[in-house]
Amino acid sequence: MLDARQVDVSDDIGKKAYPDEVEIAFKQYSFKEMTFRRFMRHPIAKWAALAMLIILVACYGAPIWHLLFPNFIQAPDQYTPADAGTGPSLKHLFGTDSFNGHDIFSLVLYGGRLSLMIGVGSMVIGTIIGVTWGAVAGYLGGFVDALLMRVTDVFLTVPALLLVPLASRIFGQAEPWHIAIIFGLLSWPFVSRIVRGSFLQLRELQFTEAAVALGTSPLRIIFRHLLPNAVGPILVAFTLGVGSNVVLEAFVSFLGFGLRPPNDSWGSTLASAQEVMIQGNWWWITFPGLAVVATVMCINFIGDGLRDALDPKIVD
Amino acid sequence: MVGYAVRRFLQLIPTLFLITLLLFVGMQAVPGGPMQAFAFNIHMSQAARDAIIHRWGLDQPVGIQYIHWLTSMLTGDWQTSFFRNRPVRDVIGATLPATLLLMTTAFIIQELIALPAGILAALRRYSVFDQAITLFSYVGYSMPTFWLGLMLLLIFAVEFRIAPVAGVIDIRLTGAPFLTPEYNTWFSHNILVGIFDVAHHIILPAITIAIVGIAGDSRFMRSSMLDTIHQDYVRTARAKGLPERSVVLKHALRNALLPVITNVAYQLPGLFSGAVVTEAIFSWPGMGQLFFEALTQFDYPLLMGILFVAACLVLFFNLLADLAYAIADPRISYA
Repeated sequence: MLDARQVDVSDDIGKKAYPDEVEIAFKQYSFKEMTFRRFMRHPIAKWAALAMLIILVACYGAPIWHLLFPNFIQAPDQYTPADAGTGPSLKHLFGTDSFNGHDIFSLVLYGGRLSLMIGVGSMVIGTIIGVTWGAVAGYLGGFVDALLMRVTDVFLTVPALLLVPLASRIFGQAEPWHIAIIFGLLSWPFVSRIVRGSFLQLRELQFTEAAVALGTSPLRIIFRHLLPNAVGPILVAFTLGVGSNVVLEAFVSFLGFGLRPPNDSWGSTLASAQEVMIQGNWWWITFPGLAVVATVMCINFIGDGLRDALDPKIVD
Repeated sequence: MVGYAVRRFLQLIPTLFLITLLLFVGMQAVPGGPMQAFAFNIHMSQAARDAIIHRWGLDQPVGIQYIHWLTSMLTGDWQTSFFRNRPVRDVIGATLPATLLLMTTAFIIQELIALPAGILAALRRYSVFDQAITLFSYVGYSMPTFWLGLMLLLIFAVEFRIAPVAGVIDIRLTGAPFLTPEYNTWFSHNILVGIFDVAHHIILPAITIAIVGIAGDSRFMRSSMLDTIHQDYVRTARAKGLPERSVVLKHALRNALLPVITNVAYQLPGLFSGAVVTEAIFSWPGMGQLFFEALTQFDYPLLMGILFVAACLVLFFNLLADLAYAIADPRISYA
């Protein structure tokens, strides 16, 4: 896949004055350039990437927005009791909570920082473990493969939906980093499945045989020869994993086993909203959830675009 | 085929064994161990704590504890719940019907909508309907089940008050909780009212699960149908003058359904996860809700039991999917 070069005959051939001076210009794209061009050709992925960028800037820039628009964006420790429990208005775009009068729009912005950090952080951990695990299983094969994959099966069999709240309840203690590590430790199996699958195919190819014949060490074969060729599926799995972990964080915190205020995340905001939902404060539970939906939808579209862009079977 | 089924079944046993081992070891790693619920309770005297530890056999070596637990899971009553004073097997057994009822209903709604929608979308490709289905499936696929449940609850139970907020039955009507002997007697006397009552309660949670499933399944059905409708044998059927109805239903659809059956079967574990989430939102008295209750209290024997049953269910669904695959695709031989 890395050796594929897109050949593009440049437009200016015909513009040369003298035919004998014609040089056929071949523009060669690197792997990254090619993937980027193919990604941008996906009808929705590029807009999703733009939207995701806006979400990231909006959330992580929240302290700056607070400094710039102090009346509009409140810091998490600020509130206006006089406005408590009011619906969406120009002053409070997403309304306020009914306890102290926190501005929900500000809470969503500030809370996004932890939600996204947990989504990305956990998948960084999960991908590192999953790639190593799957690479060893796929490259060595045989007994080691069978053993490692049985362990993977176990983690895939006991629903993560039960294991993650369990681990968060026990080890989380509402610390954001603990939660990210727990999510990471439980999201590697599906990555390792994918990596193992590609490695089983790749190790049968001739360039691996050549590397073995040249006496390359197994570690070098795994990381320098095989892994770069498996980067496509890994990247897609990583992206989709971030999306599902953002949802999982929201759910686990919503149930009270994950983050709690003052560690504001979309999930912990939803958790406090649940108690008063029955009174009809619809805005409090709707908008943080919409933030989750919007983010996950963007991530899924980006994953979709990456899958198409990185799939060597799809020819331009 | 039978040989394949038996072999596939036997393969489950080592996996299941490994699951019990990892679950057990994992629980030992918990700060405070299985006694977590009591270990940090300052209102409890050391003597009382020791009595509980002794009563549940938690003072024995870990290996012995594991063997006790395993034999109890295989032959006994799955040990006694910390806080319910009943055997774990009975506690879980009482909630399993509600979960299975919810899953089955959701599954039926899901397939009744997803499959026809997918077929129609494929037959009227690029029509408004097709585009609407595509849009819906993109949105539905990214929709977190629990938030969707909350939104439906907010709209239909809180705003419009046409659906109940929680539970599986109206206890003011039945006078007893779901599936207790009293309830069963009441139900046998008021079958129609009873069915209507449960249906009224199940509709929101079942639709919550179904919507997310419809998104995936309709898309799969559509692409499978599109694959077959352009095959040569479909063109042949048209060419020999068969009515369009018979071309679509007998020639295209029957072949398009094969991969769909397998795909649907492989999604059964997802259906279970959906039920777990939805039960927590709608206070549906099933295994999912039981799990989160047990988790809040840290009822160790009950947690182990639920995780074990959940793993068994998932393994069973996977087996079912593999068998469906073997039956549906005669080109693969499983001698």
